[in-house]
Amino acid sequence: MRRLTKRLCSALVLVAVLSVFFAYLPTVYLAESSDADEVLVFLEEVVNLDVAKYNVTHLGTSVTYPDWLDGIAQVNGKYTLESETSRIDVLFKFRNNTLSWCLMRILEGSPQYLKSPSENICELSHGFLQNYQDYSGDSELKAMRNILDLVDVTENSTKTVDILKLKISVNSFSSCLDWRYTLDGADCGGVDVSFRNGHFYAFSDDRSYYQTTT
Amino acid sequence: MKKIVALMLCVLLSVSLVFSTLILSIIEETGSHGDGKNEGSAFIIWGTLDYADETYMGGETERNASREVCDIIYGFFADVDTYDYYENFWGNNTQPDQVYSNVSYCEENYNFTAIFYKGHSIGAYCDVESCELGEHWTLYASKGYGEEYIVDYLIHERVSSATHDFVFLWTCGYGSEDMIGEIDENGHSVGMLASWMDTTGLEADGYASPDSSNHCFIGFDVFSICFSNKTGYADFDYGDFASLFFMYALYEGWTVNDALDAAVEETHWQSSFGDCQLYTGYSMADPENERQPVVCYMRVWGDGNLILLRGEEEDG
Repeated sequence: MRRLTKRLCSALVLVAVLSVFFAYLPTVYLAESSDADEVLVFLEEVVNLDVAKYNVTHLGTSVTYPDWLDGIAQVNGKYTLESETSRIDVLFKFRNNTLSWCLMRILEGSPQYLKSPSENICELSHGFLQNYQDYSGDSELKAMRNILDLVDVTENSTKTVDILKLKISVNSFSSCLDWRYTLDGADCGGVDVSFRNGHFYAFSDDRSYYQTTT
Repeated sequence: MKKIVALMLCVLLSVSLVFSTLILSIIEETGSHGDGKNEGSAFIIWGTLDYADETYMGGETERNASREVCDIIYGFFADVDTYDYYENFWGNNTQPDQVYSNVSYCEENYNFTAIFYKGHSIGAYCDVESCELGEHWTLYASKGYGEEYIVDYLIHERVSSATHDFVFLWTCGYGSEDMIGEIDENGHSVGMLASWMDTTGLEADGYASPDSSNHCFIGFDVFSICFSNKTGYADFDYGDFASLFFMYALYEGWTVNDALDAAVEETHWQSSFGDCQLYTGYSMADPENERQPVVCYMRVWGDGNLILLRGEEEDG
């Protein structure tokens, strides 16, 4: 009888402990760390941000399956990065397990870089594409760099070489460069990057999923 | 014996899960929201049923898109479950008196209120004798043109604590600098921004230069764009943009600017709102001069860093 009471008490204690544990288990968003960590690698290797100088807070990620992606998962998330000299927000989206969007919003101060970025927007764009090619191993990016030499990136213009079109849009907010493949006059996947006040601002690459969804 | 142990473990786990659910429901019931004056948050959707003009209002297609998008947006607020009071009054419930009484109710009971209106704008004059503010501005109510309108200064008369902190009017004109409005020494107001938010001092470009005011107004400079208009990327339209904006705005820690950027990225093939035609300008036909299109903008006034997902930190 005593043994039964003891076991019952143990079970009750276990129930209580587990109940509290489950109740306070955080609402975990899926696909947490591995994708998100990739964003920090991108910031370091492509944007040249000195990530080690920052306290990084991951605000979590969420996974959605938008109709337009036809079953492909989209992972959305946000980081905040704080250092002694600057505060930065970073937004990102992964689609088809590839980083397809990253935006770096400078909230305070000036970012700390591994290598100071060029003040020349053309060099800045070249450097970004070269770093992105090294990071991704994607040889298509070479053609995108080559077309840069044929345009003046400080004014609005469009240049097409074979099936690759580069559109440059300069406005009071940012300078945006959009490389897009065209097939029979229709736009297909491409890469888009914008710079603001001499710093990387945002990047998109929809080549891993665009053709499959349109 | 092993089977009995496994069975007991299963029972223990099940009982634990039931108790954990009970604990969570008790926490929710005794939480800080919604049980006191000036605590918690409210979100209300308003919208007219009048899309009679096919050319400039979008007709039946736009009316259906407006209803659907407002339903979707309402669903996002219902899902996050952090707003104490949220209503979708699109359609028949968008009556001027109901708008005014909700303004009073929210001002008196919540320390943060967000508004989304979808419809049209029209000028009017007020009958206040001392008024020297000239033409006033109104929003179409449920039945639309020729019926009752929601009038700027009558909204402002119900504002008592200036807690309408986020107002998004998807209608023509009220985001332009010359329609922001003013408030005279008697508290009489003109203009939707001034009237809803009880301020005229917000930063004109709250996207590029958020002013930390904790107030954000989004409106259109000249003509708004129809929900049913295509963005030009994939099969997205501006209704998708609006609903995605609210979806992202309700992510933990995401600001109004974040939501604008994320919604644009998805629907426009632009990597940020700053690169998108909503910010840089888009052409619309002018009903008064069809040969000469006009350039229109979506304007973000005030604090683009405002967070819509309210929690204890934001409410405090």
